[in-house]
Amino acid sequence: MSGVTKILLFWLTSVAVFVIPCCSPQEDGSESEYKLTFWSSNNSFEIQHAREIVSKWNVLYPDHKVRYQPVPEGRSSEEVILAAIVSKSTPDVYTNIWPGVTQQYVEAGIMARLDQFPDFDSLYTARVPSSLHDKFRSKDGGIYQFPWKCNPIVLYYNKRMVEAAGVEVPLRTYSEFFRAAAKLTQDSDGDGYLDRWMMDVDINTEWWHRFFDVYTMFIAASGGKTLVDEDGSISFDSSEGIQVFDFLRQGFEKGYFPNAFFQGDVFLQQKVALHISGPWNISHLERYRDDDFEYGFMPMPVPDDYQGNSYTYGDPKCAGIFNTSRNPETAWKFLKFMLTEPADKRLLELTNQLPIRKNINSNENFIEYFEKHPQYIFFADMIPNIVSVDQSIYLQEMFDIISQEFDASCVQRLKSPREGIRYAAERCRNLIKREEL
Amino acid sequence: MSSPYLIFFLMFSVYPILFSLTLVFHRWNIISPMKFVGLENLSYLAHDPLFWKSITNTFYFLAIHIPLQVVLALVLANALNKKMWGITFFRASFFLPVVISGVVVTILWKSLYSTETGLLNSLLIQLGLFKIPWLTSVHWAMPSIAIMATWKNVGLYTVFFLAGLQGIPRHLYEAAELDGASPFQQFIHITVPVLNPVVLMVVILSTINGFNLFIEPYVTTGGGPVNSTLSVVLYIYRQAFSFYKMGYAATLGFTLALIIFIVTLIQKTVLEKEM
Repeated sequence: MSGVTKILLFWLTSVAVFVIPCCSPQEDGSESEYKLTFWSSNNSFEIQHAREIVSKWNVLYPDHKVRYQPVPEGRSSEEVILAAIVSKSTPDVYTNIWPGVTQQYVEAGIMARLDQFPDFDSLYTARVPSSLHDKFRSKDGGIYQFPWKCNPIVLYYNKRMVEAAGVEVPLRTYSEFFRAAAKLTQDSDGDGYLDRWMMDVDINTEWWHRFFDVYTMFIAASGGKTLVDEDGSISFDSSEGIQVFDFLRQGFEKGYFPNAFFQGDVFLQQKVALHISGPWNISHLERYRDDDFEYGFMPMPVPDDYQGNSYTYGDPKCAGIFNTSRNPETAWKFLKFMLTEPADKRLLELTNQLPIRKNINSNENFIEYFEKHPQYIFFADMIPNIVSVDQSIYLQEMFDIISQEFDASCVQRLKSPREGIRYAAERCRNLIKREEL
Repeated sequence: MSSPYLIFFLMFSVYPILFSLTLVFHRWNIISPMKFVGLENLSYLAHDPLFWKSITNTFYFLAIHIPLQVVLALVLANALNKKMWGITFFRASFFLPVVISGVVVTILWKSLYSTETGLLNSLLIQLGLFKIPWLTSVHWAMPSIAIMATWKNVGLYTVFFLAGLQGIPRHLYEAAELDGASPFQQFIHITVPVLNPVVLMVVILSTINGFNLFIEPYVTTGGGPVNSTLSVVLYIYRQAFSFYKMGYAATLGFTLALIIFIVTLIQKTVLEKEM
């Protein structure tokens, strides 16, 4: 046997011994020995929460033990799940589903329909705010994902900078915003160049950046609309869509938003007075802020003629069951265990992420948490008015198109906001038409 | 004896190529079954403005990058082809960016290029000049990326030229010197003609590498502003791994391979004629 053949044989044997058993579903055990597999997000706080939940479950239900692992590392958890789907190694239960990909999973037939379980409706209506009931429904009318937690996007502001400029907050309308921006945008060292700005808007054109500026602002301006209306028409092809583009364009044109890439956190460095973010930013700011750095929150600004509530993008994550599960009933039972009040309370305490739950800020089980962490009350108050994303398989591409037009119309100002919105809408219509042929 | 190589070749070269070729005629998002669409992907490609924009951008990048790379590598190789103290250190220093991760180099340059806080603009201001929007202007973004890519790769081509220079017989220069040729004349009439095969190799390799431009725009600009730095490979990546359009991505991939083949063939023919 030649050296090369020996190496090849050794390699194949190693693969057979070590790799294949890890990737293959359990085939050896009987049904009673079958363990449910549960994946959560892989940030350290959620790992701690998931481990706690699983240990409690395994003590309570020793006959239906759950094996836990965080979602494996990858460029994004969606990419990892995709690889797991292809290799048929998806977990039974997964709790970090971004609703933007659910429709794709549903159309590929890999998600278990949750509203088939007899007690689904009672749990869903008891837990989820009524304003969100239909927001997670797929095109076939079924519900394949249970809204679990959210991170409402708001405007953070630097209290010291705002007070020093004599600006009163909250800044409700675009006009109020621009009046404040004129005061807060400065050349503080007198070198002829601006070095303090009103707000940072990420100019990177990667599609998902638009969740935190264009999309959130459109939701606020339109009273809670998503990109596509129920009748399938493009909702941002409207006066609200144009107003949002015009607002962003004016911000860049007048120098209120820097047209630049920065290293580090410009809000923490006090280079910008306002910053768009979710509740996850609080722990970051608390960890790294100087003693004199104080911050507050306000909803996204809206057009001057807007009347109504403050809506925002909720950045929700859902829980679901993959239909590779050999025991979906037990998986559902485990999922319900994840959604109980005590489990949600621990989610809040350990991760500072908000469960999507009715009246969370007035529920006596959560009051203690909000007394200890008053910053999160503002976010909890926004839960009934959060908006998710459309259940569409074209979502990423639509956001990519919007991002390109945002760049051309608002940042580079090569076309008017009206032209940008109209062209983006036309391209989205063509995309849907082409793909559905 | 050759069967392990054959198996390896079939598994990791032939099979992926044939599979990709199949994808050209299908629509496939990885998780749903493939759907045969005939020539639809090719027909879409012919009318896809973003594909043509990415092709134009890539040629624009090559037009800046290749001459800059060849000239700079030749000049550096000439400077490093001397017996002097610390020459090994200088040679290693110029080669260092080649072995540093492309992502690290790009993040470093992104920091240097920052319009508001970057070192380059700070220097320009201190010199009494004005700030340049290196990565945020439609006009500056691609040249900035070309400079970055040249800095990263020039060390490799310098080594090629250095090897070529060290193969030139010393007596040619001595004879020219006796005939009264200046150092510049010696460079033009001896060094450059003798190095022509190396120039050909450097141009071809730079072209192939240049067509694969990806990390620099991906990390710095994401293809913007207004798609001015969208390279073909970045476009393929988006189609495949952001939108999961594997059929269209495969079509773009084969088209890129064909373009590289044609361009390389033209370069080879033209440069060989001049030798």
